[in-house]
Amino acid sequence: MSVASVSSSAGGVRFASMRNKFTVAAITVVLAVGFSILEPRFYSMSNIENLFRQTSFLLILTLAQMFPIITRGFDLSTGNLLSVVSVVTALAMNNAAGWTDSVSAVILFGIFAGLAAGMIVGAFNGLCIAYGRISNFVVTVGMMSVCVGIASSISNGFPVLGLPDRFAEWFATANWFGIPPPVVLAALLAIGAHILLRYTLFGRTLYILGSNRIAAYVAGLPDRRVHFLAYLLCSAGTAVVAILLTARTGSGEPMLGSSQLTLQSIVAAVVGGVSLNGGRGGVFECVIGALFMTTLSIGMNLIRIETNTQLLVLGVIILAAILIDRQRTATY
Amino acid sequence: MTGTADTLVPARKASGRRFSVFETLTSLPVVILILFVLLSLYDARIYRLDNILNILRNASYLLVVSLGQMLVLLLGGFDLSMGAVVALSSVATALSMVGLLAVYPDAPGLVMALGILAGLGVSGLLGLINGVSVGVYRLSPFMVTLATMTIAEGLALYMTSGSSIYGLPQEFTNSLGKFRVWNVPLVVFVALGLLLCLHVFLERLRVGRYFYAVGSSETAARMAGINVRGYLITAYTACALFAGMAGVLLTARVGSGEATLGGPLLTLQSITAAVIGGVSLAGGVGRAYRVALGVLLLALVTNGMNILRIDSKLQLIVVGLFLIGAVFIERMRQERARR
Repeated sequence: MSVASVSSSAGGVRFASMRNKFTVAAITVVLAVGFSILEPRFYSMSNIENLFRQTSFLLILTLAQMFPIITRGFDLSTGNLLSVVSVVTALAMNNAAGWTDSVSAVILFGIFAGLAAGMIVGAFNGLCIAYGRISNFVVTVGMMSVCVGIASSISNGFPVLGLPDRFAEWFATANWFGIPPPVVLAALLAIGAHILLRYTLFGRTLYILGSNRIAAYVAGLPDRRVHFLAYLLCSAGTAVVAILLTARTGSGEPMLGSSQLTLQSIVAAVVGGVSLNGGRGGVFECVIGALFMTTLSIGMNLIRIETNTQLLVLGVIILAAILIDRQRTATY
Repeated sequence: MTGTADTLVPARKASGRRFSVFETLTSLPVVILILFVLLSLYDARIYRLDNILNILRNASYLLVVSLGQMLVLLLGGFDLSMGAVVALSSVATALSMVGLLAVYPDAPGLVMALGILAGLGVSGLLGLINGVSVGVYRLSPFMVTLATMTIAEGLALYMTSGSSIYGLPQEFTNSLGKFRVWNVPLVVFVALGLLLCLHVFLERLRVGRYFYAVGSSETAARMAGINVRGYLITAYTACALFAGMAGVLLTARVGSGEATLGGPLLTLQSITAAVIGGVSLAGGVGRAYRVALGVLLLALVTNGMNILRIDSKLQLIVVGLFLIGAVFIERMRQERARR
């Protein structure tokens, strides 16, 4: 179905999905204007930079989450995987500092270890789901619990300090062409994900897998391998966010992520228009969703809405989002 | 998705089948028994009467929640809001009891009844929202219950401002919280009673059997003239009522209204217990007494790890791998049974 909307198809379908895409984008703009009127600090330069920085973290998480969602699944372990990768990266750097004097080597080793840890978790998820055919819900919930346990046991529950200063300089405080590194990375990853989805066999198979799993099998597509890769990519993207956040806080934090963040990334994807029924949605939808969620949360913080009330607002927004999602489905 | 029809009546497939070591060793009662014996051999405190009663009491709260979860799972959905509804029910019950006690200090029975009704009412209302959203508006259960979870959590925190609510009537905590019949906590009987009712309802009544029909194939059920929409609304409302009941029982146990009771962990535990008990996430498969066995296994594992002083961080890893392993074994059992 989604493939139809990608390639040339009935104009009505394309128009309907475009119209809805821009609904959320328009709501985001209205929200931003509203917050700016209520609180002039909202459109200050520092806040806008902050907005983009926050959005880029959520965007990478959402892009990662997008792959399993397109296959009609989701990964509930990503939020807690952040903590594992953060702690592993920090511990690896401290370890490497013992046997090499080169700060660059230390940092690279840490990043490598963090990415590897993320991909091991992703490979486990993917193996169980794609090849073991266990429900993605069960596997990723189990993995969530495992991740909480690993992060707190290898760090003994304390932050891992003593990271090289240059790590933070490279990935948090630096300017790459005048833009903060997370924003640049998020943009690059978004472009990469877009190419992967639209121009490769992997991308096409991913959508077919979500629309009709049996069709993907019958058509002789590498369905299991693609299903496996979806979860592997999800964890790898999450690991990137974890490394960026570790650079920002300057320490490996066993409490860095939470299941709250997982849910936020799923909500961002769905608000933007990635369907939980699989087979629909792409990078553009994730960008809109992430921008919307970040604008809302930063705005609510700035106009000092209480945390408890923010929860209520978030709940109502999720309900509204899925109502929109339903109308979108109905147009097909 | 695959072959729900032939697993619909598990009792039939077991008979007339040759004895298999694998199937016997992985059947729930045998696993529970073996685990209990092994743990007892390792540490004698496991099989002391007060510890067994402790396991049963902890299992009872989880059982009430898991039975509710099972109803929704049977229809192919799930309810992520249960843990938050437990908290909301606790807060609503406690707040209304404290308020009413100030007005009617001489009628604790009335105060208790109205307080429990308030807790169940709020829970039922949230369940109704879930049910209507899923049943009538055909929204994804995941997103709907995620939204109501956030709303319930926000409401509970908002109403209490994050602090505990004390001053519940003594009669309430003494009866539901501490009362024992033949030394067995009252809550165990409450949970067993609910289990029995649900078992009879699902196995013996036509309206109960229809749950399996709707869960196996909504289209087929609709063609057969079953009110699918009504079943979805009923299931989600009943599910939230079970959560509300667990909230009331836990409030009586703790002795105060707490916005931190339940929580997402309880929801996940309830799904875990149901899945270990053989309830399929795809809908249409599952039996109440097996969910109870799943709950018992989970309670035994938790209790055993506590008594063996296993680090709470490692416990999380064990529980996670345990869940994945249990479902994997269940899948292998099903595939062997089909062959």
